[in-house]
Amino acid sequence: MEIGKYRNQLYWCSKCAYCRDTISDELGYYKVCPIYEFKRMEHFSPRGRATIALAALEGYLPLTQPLVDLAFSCLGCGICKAICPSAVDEGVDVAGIMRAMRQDLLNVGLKPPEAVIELDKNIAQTHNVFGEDSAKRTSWSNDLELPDKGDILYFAGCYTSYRYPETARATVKILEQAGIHLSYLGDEEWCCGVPQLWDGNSSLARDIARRNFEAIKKSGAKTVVATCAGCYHALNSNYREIVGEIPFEIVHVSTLLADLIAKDKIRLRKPIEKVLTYHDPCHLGRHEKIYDAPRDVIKNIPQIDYREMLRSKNSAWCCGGGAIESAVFPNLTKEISKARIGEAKEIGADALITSCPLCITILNRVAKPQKIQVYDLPVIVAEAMGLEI
Amino acid sequence: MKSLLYRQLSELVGPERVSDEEFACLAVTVESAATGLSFLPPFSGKMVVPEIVVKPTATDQVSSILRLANRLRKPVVIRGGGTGTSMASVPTQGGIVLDLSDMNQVLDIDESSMAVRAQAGTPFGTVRHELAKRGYRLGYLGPHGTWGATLGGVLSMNSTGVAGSKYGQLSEDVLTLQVVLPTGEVIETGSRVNSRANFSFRYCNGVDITGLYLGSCGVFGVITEAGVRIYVKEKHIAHGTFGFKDLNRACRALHEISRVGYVEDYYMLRDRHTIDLVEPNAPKEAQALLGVFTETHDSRELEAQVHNWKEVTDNYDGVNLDPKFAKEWASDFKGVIHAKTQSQLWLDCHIWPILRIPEGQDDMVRLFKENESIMSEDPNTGLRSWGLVSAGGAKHPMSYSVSFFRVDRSNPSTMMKAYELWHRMIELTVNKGGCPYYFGREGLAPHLWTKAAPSYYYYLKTIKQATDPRNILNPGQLML
Repeated sequence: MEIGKYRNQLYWCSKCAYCRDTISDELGYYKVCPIYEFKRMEHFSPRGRATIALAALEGYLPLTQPLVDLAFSCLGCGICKAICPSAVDEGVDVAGIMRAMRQDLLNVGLKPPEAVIELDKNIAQTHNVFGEDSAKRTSWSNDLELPDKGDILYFAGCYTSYRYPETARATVKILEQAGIHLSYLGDEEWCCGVPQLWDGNSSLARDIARRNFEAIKKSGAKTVVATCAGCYHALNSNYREIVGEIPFEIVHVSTLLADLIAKDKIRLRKPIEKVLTYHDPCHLGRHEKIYDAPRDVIKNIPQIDYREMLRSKNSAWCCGGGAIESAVFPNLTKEISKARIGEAKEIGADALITSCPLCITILNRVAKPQKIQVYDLPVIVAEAMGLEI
Repeated sequence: MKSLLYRQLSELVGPERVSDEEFACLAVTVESAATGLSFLPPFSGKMVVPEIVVKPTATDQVSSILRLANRLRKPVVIRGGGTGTSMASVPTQGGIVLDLSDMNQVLDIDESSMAVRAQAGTPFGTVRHELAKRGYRLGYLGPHGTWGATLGGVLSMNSTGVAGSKYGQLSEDVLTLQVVLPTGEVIETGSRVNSRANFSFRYCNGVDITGLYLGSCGVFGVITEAGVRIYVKEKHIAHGTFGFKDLNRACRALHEISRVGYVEDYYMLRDRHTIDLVEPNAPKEAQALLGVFTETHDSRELEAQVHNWKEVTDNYDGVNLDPKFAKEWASDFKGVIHAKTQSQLWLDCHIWPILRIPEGQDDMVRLFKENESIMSEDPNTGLRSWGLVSAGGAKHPMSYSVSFFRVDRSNPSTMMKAYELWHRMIELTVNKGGCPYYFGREGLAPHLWTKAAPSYYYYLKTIKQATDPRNILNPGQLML
């Protein structure tokens, strides 16, 4: 069983319940698992999930259809691992355990949720999560004349390509100001595969990863820049597990921008008189430990009033859409995103910046009625640089 | 088609707060320590997966659930944070698990009587956070490292914990309780016996019935609310770590500084093997390692207390060491103890006077050494995992003392041997006069009852029969 990889962690789980709804000023956590917060039954808590996984692994619990919904209800956000005080492996990785359990459940022939079947079909047929015409993927770049080969390649991802072309265009134009000319795979770029990495379809995920890896290698890129937190995590961490050593560097745009600002290669001159806050995407924050770079970038915008939400960095709540939750349990996603936007409202934020187009999609649905703008980092940086995108 | 019981409970609390899925019922059978994975050997034959789990939010719902359980003669097992170490929340006869962790509201902070009233399922982290906003604190800060433990769970276990040396166990600060009796009636205790009074005092209105419910493992009723004393939060904190040539000197020094109230809590490693396991970088000559901390309102007072630590420990040839150990282990604001010691441990927690800590230690060390072959290797040091510690969970001059060992929890035959060793360890402790503060069912009860007067046990049994005629509430706990 895939969950067998986590056997040691499962036995070391001390059932302390830190991962459930801990409030601790000392630890800096104010309720932990968003799913538990809204579902409130023990089996939805990370601790409960770890118990269930161990019982299944040791043969005390059969793998049955009702477990599928449970396994697919985990956000994969990793906040439970972040707070976990376990003495082994830096904490019990319940997100990884649920990911493995999804595979195990499907491997014994149980049926995945309908939304997962649809998602897999979309990606297999059109190479994007929306099932839209693959030719539309590159339309954001039509007038930019980006080469398909070069040292620094931009990996745009599905959400940015189809829903947030302004992020992609802003990224290209900002970097041009710093003398960095990006190359782009065009329609040779497929979905990064992160949805399949989480939905139990590991064979499709592996195929996609190998396909993208070969395409990037062929482009001659020495560095790959990603704006989407999910794509960045897939390329930087998951691909290594699948293809082994990667002969190019993966950089998230927030790190690159922070570096360019520090070297005075780009300047943010246009004042933005707003109260701004930053939402840590799980894939970039807890999964990749990039917390400071996006904040460093935002704090360079003139005349902003930057405020931190109560739950930030490693204790930040997920937007509610992680690990395909938004497709499988949209109502739960909405409740969690409302709570997250509520935190921004609480500190008087006019705008929330993030580094993940899925977070933007999820948060925007509830932010608009609260009159809170949601920006992708490159978009607000372009605005502060006075760039037309 | 859902069962009649499911439908009846759903009517009482809403269907989203009830589950009869097998995995949901299994998830509420576990707790901390080696005894915690009740579905695995050697406990798998003793635990019975419950039929259903229900999560009330209000006292009247608890009352209705108990009335229903009486009518249907269904056993009910009460569950708080599920972080205990005595199997008190492990079902032995199936039935209903009453998960109180959604009764989690801090109801009132009364500054005039310096008390807080909260629902029983409120975690310690939540209580502390709400009090800190107004500059207050509980005395006892929660069981060692467990912010997820709940007020009701701790009171039902008489749990010890952080800051206990100065403030005592939480039970000592209880003023009033609200309790749902096994048959569903609701009572209030202490000053709240007078329905017009506040939750301000315990010893009034006649009999101190509050004490019946403290440490009772829920056999006489379900604690649903508690009124507890609060204190003004201190501004200054200091930590100190001291190494001693032997355990006797360490205990005498500790006794001297704690009897004048200069220690809020402490953590003591009682022999060299335990030091090597937990704090291997301590100087080799140290045979006992003591970490202490104190909190004060005034910086000069803090200075005076720290000065006293140095003076007293000097008198006992103590060596002043890096306070890191004390910061990590004695105050334990970050959960280190739970993380590093509670997972998979076989424990014999008991209350014991500080000056008598050395008594019987040699016997315990001998027992552990004879059985080292079953113990697992510590992942950091490679040493066999056993040790002897004392902490300030109980008010001075008492200590909370523990002997512990760890085996590979995934190996059933080793677990059976560990189970036998565990009983030998507890027998040794109880036989020399150690008093287990929590009781539960599996570990401590059989050892204690053989040393108690039969009339005491029968008295408890009589109360149980009178208050819970169908024996539905936490059956088997306290061996009742």
